Amino acid sequence: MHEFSIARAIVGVVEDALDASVHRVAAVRLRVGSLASVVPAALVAAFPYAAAGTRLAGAEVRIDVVAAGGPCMACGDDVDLEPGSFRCPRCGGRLSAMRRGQELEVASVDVEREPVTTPLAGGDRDG
Amino acid sequence: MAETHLDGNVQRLRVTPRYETIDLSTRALVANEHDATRVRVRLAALGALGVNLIGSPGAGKTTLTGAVLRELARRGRRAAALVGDCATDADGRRLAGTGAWVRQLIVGEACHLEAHMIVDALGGFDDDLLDVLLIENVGNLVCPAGFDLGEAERWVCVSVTEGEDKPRKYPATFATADVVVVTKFDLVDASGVDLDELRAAIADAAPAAATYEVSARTGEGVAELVDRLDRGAGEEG
Repeated sequence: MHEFSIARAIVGVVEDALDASVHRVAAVRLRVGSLASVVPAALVAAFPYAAAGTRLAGAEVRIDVVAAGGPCMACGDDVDLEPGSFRCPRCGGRLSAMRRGQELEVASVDVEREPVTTPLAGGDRDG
Repeated sequence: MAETHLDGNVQRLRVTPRYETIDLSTRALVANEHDATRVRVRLAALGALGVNLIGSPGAGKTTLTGAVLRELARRGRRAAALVGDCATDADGRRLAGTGAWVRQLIVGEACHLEAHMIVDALGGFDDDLLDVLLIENVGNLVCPAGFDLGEAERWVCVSVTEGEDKPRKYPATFATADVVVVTKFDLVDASGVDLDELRAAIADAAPAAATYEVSARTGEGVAELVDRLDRGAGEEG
């Protein structure tokens, strides 16, 4: 679903968050819920097109998939659902609410800042 | 290491790159959320309850919206509607026949409504008061799910003629529902749908949602559905 426009939104969010001393983004870490209607491989494939010409060009995209889950009505535990299942993996009960699994967020970025330049002591000798 | 030449002397410099991991914890669709907040602020100022109707093409959203608009008018409530489609203003014309303020939004290839479209459309609403704004999303059971339109309630519509599997086939969308409306209920026998299984599928995929079984054509269940808007409108107003 719209992985390219989502990639563009992510590039925008990251660019807005970083100050001018950041030269380049080397990696972007995303949290994508299993019920977010986003295909991780498609997002990774679309990302370079969205990042071209920005500080995120060439950045590696790492995705943590967040399992769907919430409190089970029957046993009361807060549980993660197995892929494709809606029932509590411990007791088979229904959830009272879907608390997790719809995330689509930028967790963190690895950046390269403007380098620090220091003069070395001496003329032709290393200091 | 770099070298520069100053006054004939070679000046050696050490250039040290700096790497850092920055925690952002920022939602990717924050721009849409910002616009959704603008919609909420505008609706709050009007005293209006916003509803986002999502469902497959042909689920009966337009007919349901029309029935809800007519029932609200019958109760003396002020209602308006926005309807999204990829092409044509056919649905907008149908709903305008109810006498409510209606605007048609043509989204072209976008296939879902986004909050900035609602902000723009409400810019054309001149009245000071409104009880209910119905937003009929583009017919699509996938893409609209990720876009908050600033609604107070999200109604996911599924007709009895779509079979009992829909909630399990589209779990991501049903998981976002505040209300599930089972539409075309007058056809429940003719459709041959396994109603028990449909109800179970809804309970699994949308555990916290309220379910209504409605026929917009015969009126069955419409009053109960509008009652929840009346209660909400009463609280807002």
